[in-house]
Amino acid sequence: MAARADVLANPPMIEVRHLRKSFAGKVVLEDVSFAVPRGAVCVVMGGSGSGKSTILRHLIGAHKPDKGEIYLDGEETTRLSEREMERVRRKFGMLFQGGALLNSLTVGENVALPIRHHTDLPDATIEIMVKMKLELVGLRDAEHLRPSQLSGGMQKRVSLARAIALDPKIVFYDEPSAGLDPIVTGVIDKLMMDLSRALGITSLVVTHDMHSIFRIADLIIMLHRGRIVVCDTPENIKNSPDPLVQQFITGAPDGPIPLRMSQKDYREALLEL
Amino acid sequence: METTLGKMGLFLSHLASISRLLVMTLYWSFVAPFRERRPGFALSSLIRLMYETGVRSLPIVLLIGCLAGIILSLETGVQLKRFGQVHLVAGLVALSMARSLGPLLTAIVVTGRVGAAYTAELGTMKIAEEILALEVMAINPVGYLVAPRFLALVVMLPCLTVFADAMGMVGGFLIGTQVYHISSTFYINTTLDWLFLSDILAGLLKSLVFSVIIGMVGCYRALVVEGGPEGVGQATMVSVVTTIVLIIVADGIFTAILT
Repeated sequence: MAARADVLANPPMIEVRHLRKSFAGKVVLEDVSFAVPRGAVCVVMGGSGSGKSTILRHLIGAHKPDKGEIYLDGEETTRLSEREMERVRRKFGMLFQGGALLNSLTVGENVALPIRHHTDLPDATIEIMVKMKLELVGLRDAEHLRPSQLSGGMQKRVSLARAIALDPKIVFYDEPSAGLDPIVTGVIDKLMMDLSRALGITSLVVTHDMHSIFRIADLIIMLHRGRIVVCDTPENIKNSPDPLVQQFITGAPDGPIPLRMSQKDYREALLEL
Repeated sequence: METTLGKMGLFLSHLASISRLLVMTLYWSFVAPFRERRPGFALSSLIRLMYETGVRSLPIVLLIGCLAGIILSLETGVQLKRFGQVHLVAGLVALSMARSLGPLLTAIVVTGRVGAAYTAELGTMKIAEEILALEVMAINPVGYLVAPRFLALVVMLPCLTVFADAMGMVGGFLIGTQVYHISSTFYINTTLDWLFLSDILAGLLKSLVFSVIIGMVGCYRALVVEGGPEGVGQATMVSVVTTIVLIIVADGIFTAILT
């Protein structure tokens, strides 16, 4: 699907400015800045250890940056107290890599949890809302099952229903296709696009599944060693002459990103023993 | 030298974190239900946890309490008999059970049964990102998960201790009347003469402190789990060992103060 140029012209819903973070002296993010327009699907891709999960954790407020600002829906979030952050968190939902459903509750109770916790709606209304959200992900019949009785793909769909339970403005996706077969991945991708197109939800997806990326993205951000290499539309990225970008798209084992991590000469290392 | 300092630092930082968790737990247990717009946890989950913690632990607590009473009366009876004072068994058993053994044994049983379960359950939730998911849903994990577990323990451990105390005296009664041939009326009267309400209350105060230790260490260890299922196993082990050591240390301090 082609990227939607009209969406990219929207004002930003997520904005990251000069984000820096290091853990125990090791720099993980170095001056990362980008903006995601309202209603767009933005994919953050990059190899393992490129810092993409760290960005996500900063956006949801699980990490505090060393430097830089994050604006969600126009509000700066990095300096908010835990209590103020709770208020901001009601504006977004998140689909976790493993689903992260509470195993002690049924599927329906999992979806109802945020609604019950944050609204004063009567039980009957909550029940209807839960049914509607589950219907959106095609799992209305699973309401009374336990998460452990569902397959990995179904768990992720329930998790998506829970993420959108309070009609958030933003949904974050952490590796939505990890551990899923291509068909289920396609189902999740379609749900993601429907949410963005029908409800105008802004999405930020962390993944390295090239197939889904070109299917869903309006905007692609590519990270390498804590820096943004490129931030562009899928078309421009496909045609990019940058060897680093091309290596990622084609999945070549060797290129600008080296296959081996050792700096030392192989022969020398063997002789040292 | 450096490693000793490092370990001291680590210990102090754990202590600081546990104290912070305790303050948050106290807030979510006793203040939030009246001040917040809605409590952090549902009443039904508190009731379920109290059932799991208290009622389900009762059989083993009864058994251990009774056995402790039997062993205690057998051991002391043999010694007392040499001085012709075997009738003192009743009072000794009652006092040791109420002041010391009852709270201590119950706390150790509950550490293994409940404290370990808390660490394993919450630790598994932590590595499955369920706790992070709660935070993202703007649901405070301390309010939702830790506070009801803490409350369940604080209510149920003293209750269980009362049962352990009683069963210990029943065990002592069995041995006293059957083995040492003390008349049952005499045994019961001696017990009532020796045992004051203050003794039982001192024991219950101890068990209240033990319940705070079990709940806080069990939950804290879970919340700092790292590194997959192996980490959960490790954390559960550390949690049980730490809890038992802390309980015995606290018992020592208490006994020194109260006697």
